Amino acid sequence: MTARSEQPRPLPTHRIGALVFLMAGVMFFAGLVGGYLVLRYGGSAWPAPGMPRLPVGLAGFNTLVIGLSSLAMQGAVRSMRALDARGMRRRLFTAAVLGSTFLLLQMVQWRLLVARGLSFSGTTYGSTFYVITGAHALHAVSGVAWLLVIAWRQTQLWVSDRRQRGIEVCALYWHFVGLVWAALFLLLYIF
Amino acid sequence: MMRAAAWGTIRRGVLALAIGGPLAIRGALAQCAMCGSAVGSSNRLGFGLNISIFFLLAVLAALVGGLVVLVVRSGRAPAPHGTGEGVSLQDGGVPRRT
Repeated sequence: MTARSEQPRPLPTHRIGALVFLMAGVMFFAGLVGGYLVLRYGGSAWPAPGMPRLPVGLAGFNTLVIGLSSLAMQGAVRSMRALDARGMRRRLFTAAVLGSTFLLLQMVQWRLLVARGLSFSGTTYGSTFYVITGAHALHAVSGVAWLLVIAWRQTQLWVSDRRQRGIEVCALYWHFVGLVWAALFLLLYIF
Repeated sequence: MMRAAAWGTIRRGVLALAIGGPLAIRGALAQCAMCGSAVGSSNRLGFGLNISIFFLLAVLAALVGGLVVLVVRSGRAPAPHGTGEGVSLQDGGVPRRT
């Protein structure tokens, strides 16, 4: 072993940048959840009487969908490292399709709740729910768009360094979106 | 040279905190009193506020702690993926310089 290989190697800059960006994202959602906790535990009854229950089954299925999407994204990263460009592209599209399904189911859920009487401006229960899930959906939309752009642009059997870094950062972002949804599912639907 | 400049910045920051802190704390305590009297009227609101503050602090601590652990561990880890060499998927994966 040479002396050079024993030297500590720094964390790659793109990963540090992505992590700092994601930390800002986590704090954004933490702020929203913090406000939600004050309103939830500060109020007398939660949810307010007469308000519809949230569809736990549908949201649970949606959690599974975004989890599978995250797995597909991780598979794409593995394919990239295994030098399988076609597999990588296929898995990127799979992740994007599953992400789109998640968004579609979110819209179905919102329409269902609005039809049952949970409006955006009626109660703090509805406002907080739509703001938090809406903010997450916006992140998911940008993630799906990013996945599609990467998948469409990957037409060659060659992945440059720059593109590899982009895919890794995109994967981190997509896992972040999935993990935030898992936390929101537990907070909003289960507890 | 850069290290000396960094220490100078840290010293100035500590000095500013030592002088400015006691001056600023009166204003901060006044806010605490206002907040406390507002929350004191409702046990549930106080509980919600406490939970929220605890949650935000816990998230912040977890994030900063996680990043520190990651940076420290990266100093001991082997070379990360993708550091200066492009990978050809066409030539059977033989790495070559970009």
